[in-house]
Amino acid sequence: MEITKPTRKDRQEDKEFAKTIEDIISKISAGVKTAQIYEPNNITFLKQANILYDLVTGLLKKEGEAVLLLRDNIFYINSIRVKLSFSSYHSQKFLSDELEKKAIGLISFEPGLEKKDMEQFLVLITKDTQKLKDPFDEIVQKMKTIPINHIWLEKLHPFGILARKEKVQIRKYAKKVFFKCIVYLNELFEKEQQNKRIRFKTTRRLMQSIIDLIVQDEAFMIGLTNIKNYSEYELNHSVNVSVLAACIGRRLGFEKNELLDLSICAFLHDIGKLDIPKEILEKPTALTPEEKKIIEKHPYFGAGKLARLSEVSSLPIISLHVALEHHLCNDLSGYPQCWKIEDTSLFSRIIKICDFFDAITTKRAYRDHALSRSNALSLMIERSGSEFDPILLKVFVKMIGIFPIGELIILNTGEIGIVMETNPEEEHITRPKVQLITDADGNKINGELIDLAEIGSEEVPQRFIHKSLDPDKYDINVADYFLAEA
Amino acid sequence: MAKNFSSDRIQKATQREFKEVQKIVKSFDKTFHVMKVYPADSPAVINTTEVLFLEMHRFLDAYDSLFLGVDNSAFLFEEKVVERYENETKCLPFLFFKDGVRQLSFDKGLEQDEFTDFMWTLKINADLPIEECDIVTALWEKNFPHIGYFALDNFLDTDIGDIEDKSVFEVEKEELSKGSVHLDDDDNPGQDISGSRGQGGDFEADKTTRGEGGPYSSILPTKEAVSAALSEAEEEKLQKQINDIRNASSLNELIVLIFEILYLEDRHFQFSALLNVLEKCIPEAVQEKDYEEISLLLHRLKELQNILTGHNDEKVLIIERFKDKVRNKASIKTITDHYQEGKIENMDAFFDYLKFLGQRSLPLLCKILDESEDSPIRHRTFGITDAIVRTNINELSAFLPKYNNDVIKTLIPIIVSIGEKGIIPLLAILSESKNPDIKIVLIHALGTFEYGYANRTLLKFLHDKDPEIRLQAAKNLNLPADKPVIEALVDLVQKKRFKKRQDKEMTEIFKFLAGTDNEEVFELFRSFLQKTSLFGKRKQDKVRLAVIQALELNGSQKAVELLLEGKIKSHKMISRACEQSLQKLSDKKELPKDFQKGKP
Repeated sequence: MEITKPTRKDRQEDKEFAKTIEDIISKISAGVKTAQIYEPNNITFLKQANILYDLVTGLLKKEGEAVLLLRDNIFYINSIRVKLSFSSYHSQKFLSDELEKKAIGLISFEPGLEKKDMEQFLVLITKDTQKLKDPFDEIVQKMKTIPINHIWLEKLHPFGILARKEKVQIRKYAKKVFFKCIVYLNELFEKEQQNKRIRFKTTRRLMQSIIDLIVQDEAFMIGLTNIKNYSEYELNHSVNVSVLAACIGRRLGFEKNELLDLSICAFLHDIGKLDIPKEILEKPTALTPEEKKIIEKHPYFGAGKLARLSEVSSLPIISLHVALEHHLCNDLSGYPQCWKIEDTSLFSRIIKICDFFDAITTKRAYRDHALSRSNALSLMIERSGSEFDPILLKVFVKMIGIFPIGELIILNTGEIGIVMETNPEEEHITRPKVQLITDADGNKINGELIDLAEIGSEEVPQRFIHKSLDPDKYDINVADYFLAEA
Repeated sequence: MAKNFSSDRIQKATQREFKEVQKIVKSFDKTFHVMKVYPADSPAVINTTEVLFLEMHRFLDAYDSLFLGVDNSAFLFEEKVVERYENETKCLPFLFFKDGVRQLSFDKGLEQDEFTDFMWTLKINADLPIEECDIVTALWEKNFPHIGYFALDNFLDTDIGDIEDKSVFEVEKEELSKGSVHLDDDDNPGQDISGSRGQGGDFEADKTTRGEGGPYSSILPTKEAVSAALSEAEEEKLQKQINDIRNASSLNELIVLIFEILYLEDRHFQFSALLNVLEKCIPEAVQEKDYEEISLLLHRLKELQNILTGHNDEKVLIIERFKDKVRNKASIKTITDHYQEGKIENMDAFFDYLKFLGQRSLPLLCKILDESEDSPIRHRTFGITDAIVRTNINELSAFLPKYNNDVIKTLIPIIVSIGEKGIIPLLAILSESKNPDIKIVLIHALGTFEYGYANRTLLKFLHDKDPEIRLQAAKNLNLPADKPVIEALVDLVQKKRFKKRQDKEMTEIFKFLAGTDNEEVFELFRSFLQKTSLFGKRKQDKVRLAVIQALELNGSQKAVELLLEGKIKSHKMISRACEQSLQKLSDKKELPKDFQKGKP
């Protein structure tokens, strides 16, 4: 019987289909994870494999094919993009990392698929292939010998400009994009002040690059947000907020165009400060009530500027929301006190979180000490609901982790390190990946990257974090360690 | 079972392969240009897209993928030119090239929907103004699974200046490994801590404290806070918010936000500049038939103006100027077309706009009043028209003569319904109209006013060429009559040409004059009823009979006295006419006995 497949557009909009393909990814991910822990005949593993089998055969029946494609860290099933969401983010990331390690770019489940094929396949791709020269070929050979039928693999196809690059090249590129964003924002602001015409094509391209880089190497991009006060505070800060906001947006399952809008909004959220006298912005002492009043005008100064700019360029209208509302709290306290606004926009609430987090973790002219990232999170959690949207804050806190990327920490061994990457699994949230920067005696070293989630042995005792350190106290510039990575 | 297609992909193209690519490229270009000319559902577009897709599909089936190089005016395959185009800036390769695309790739698995979507993405972007078009962004946002592109990132160097402080940018790892860190006692884990959390010991984040004092003294976020998942309700709420953003109307957002800013903005020049942005929203909304947004804008504007009134006169003035500009720029033709097409979803909002436009919308409102059979619509329209006329009565004199006859005819009764003396000059302006229908409507309108000015305006119509107009004007003259009107009429009836007028007309004028109870008028009547020479008698008699008729209609004591006089003093025919009139009057009411006997 010939299967009439619905059109791509219909399937894109079909919520049930979207759920099925999201489930398939999550179940493959769960299957691989269970296979890592349990033996192939373990009932928990078999149960996972069974669920996955049912899902895949169901799709095969419905569509005649079940093809999983991985491209630029994005999954497609039967050519339809599998959307990211807060709940599926980690399973997608996990599976994408696993398949990338094995250089698998496409898995095609074919009619006739049996339960046994699925079980053996999950076991096979779970094997540690790190030391193999060509893990893909190895897997394919084994599939032939076992044999595993009705499953077809294709090698990972490096597609986009970034996917073709080595990690170090990506990081070099990321660094360049990051600093160029700062330089460009400065140029943009200058143009604005000179009343020159502004077009946002370059802004869009820059933000696309930021988003692509987040897809490729999110941890490094978050790491770069430890760069503070390069050039003027507002410029560096705006780029940091863009990166953080795009990271949240990705976890919320935003489409690419929405991520782009969100990061543009973040990039321009403080544009109103252009109309605030520098002597007030950079005043090293406490502001007088009058000065405070002036500074509190920047949200609507900015929104007004963007409104006028939106006339001549394709600027997302929501950027006006963000400029106007990014100092409004969840309970609508804060400033400015608007006229009819009863609820702030989702983008504004995301950017408020990122804005606050980056601001409070940055030293300023009037504040010679910044909060650590983890302390900033604690403070923000205390204000959940009143100042910050509690749902979005949850997403943000989970993204940043107990020991955020860039946190300076001391281990139980006496070694000092910097958190370079978090471990998203619940059991490992206090065990991030750490770059050692000193030995146990405090001597600075070009240390290795260690995964605190790895179980210790007799030779290498289990390391864990003793506490966070204040980088200023020890004159350590955390950002340098990220910049030195590329 | 598995296929590695990345390594064997780059191979020398065979002659056959090249020819196939050539065919595809030709078809690609043709389809693109057909799409630019014809609508999406035209057979030409459907057919060429289908043919191109089939060619592409066949190629990908055979060779797995197609990599097309992009030059400013050519497509390349394996570095050889497949097709070069003469018009560099208008050709298809340039659409890609200008934004930095240097390679396009199509992969096996490409579906027709995906490919069609790709083609329309190209078409839509090619139609945009050059500064808005960015094919890289468009393709990037689309994220096609089987269509890729390689774009240069040289915008980083060409569009953006240099990073000034490269020392910040370039950090050497070796530099970072020099020196040492001496920990404070507070920070040093020491032997006991390390021991207490030996192998396998788990970190208890919520119990770990930082050093006392300073920003590092607070506690870490709890493990629960960090690992908390979203509940189903939270996920739903979040999804709803995301959907709200996806479905939001950007025009609505812009309007709402600009008002928020206007409310806060204290700089007058910025206030003005923002209103300019708002001004451009209106034609956009009209174009989209989105009257709801216009209505929102107008309501907010009114509210804002109310808030500012008495507090900030300059801003109020700026708003007034803005309103005038918007009114003057409104395209009545477009909104009339929308009404006639019958595609207005929200009539309330539509009427809000018409009301705002004031007198400019009167022609349309009158049209609706004339044409609509929908009673609530007519009622609403009448209300708005009435309100507009009332509020714009002073300015209306400048516009009224410019309207067409149908509009004027509809407007006159509305204007009259205002019932104020002040509108008579407005009606007087219309007395210049040459249209008989308007004249009649206007005469009746003037007839409703018991003011001298209304009568004076009616006098003009007594000189009209059309006897019916003259008759109606005479009938609508209203008492009391002021001196200039009486004088003008006395003058008129004594003119030689007056005798040529119709009986009814003359009677109406005399009747009016009789009603004035004016001595001079009765003297004139008396002279009319007296015996005259035989010369011109017939015509004179016509006037006399009209006077008698008018006196009979008047029926006052004075009139009866004159009739009695006429009965006695005039010649036979007039005497008889007077007698008949007196008889009629006596039949109608009881006349004084003396009168009945024929005594004066």
